Amino acid sequence: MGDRPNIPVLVGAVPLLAVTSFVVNEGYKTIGIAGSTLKQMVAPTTKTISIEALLMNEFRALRPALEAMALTSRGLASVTAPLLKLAGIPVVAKTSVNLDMQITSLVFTQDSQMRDVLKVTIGLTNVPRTRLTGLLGGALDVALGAGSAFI
Amino acid sequence: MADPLNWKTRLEVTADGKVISAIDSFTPTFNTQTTPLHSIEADNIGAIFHPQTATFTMTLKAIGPAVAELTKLSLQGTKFDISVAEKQGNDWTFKKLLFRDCLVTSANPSNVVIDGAPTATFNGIILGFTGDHDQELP
Repeated sequence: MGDRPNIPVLVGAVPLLAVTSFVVNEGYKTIGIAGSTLKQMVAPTTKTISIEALLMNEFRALRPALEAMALTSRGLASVTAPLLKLAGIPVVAKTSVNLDMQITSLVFTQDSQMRDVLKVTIGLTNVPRTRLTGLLGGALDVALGAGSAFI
Repeated sequence: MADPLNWKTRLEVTADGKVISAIDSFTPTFNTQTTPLHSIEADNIGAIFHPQTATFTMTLKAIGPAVAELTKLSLQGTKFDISVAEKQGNDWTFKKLLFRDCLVTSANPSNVVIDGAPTATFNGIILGFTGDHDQELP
């Protein structure tokens, strides 16, 4: 595997360098029709992303930036919410581009076993804004997904 | 400095300032645990530091008052200080090692054998060992 560059995962403007797990959950919802073996395709399921990362040493200073995007207080919400009305939080990793995401849960853990480390678990949900950003996100994701296999 | 190839030094182990005599061995161990950290993109991008611990094992002959005193300290759960210092000579790497606030986790005060004096073994943890003056260099 050799020496590989450590490409950060970008959640909005926050670079996460020590991501230990990145899970994307997506799919298409189907409903069974009563009295039939057929299934009705309904709509894409809401895409969710779950990120586990470590904020080490000076990177612990990124916590307020994540909180600002997650609108954890009314004060922050009044500043950040008008911006989020136009576009959601882009989540960019080497393997996928996800636009219009919204942080729905944010868990910071500090424990006695890991010194000077803050573990963060971020749950994001896709909240589509406009058709344009939806299409753009999809196109970017396909391009990067197909291309990343060769990086 | 003495001839580096010849060990002529005698060390002395004390507990709370009292010499532990008829000591066979004293083994302190520092556990400085760190784990390498990997991200989803790269290996070994950093290290996570875990709490440092220190333990000791002491074997001595069950003759004289030292074993009785250490057994008493063990059963009472009293913290005591152990120090290792040069009694004679100056060949040792350190001048002095100090282990503060030691607690015994297991005591085996006297196993009776057919030959020789009974031996006692004490295992314990060291709570104070990271101070500036705990390791005195020559």
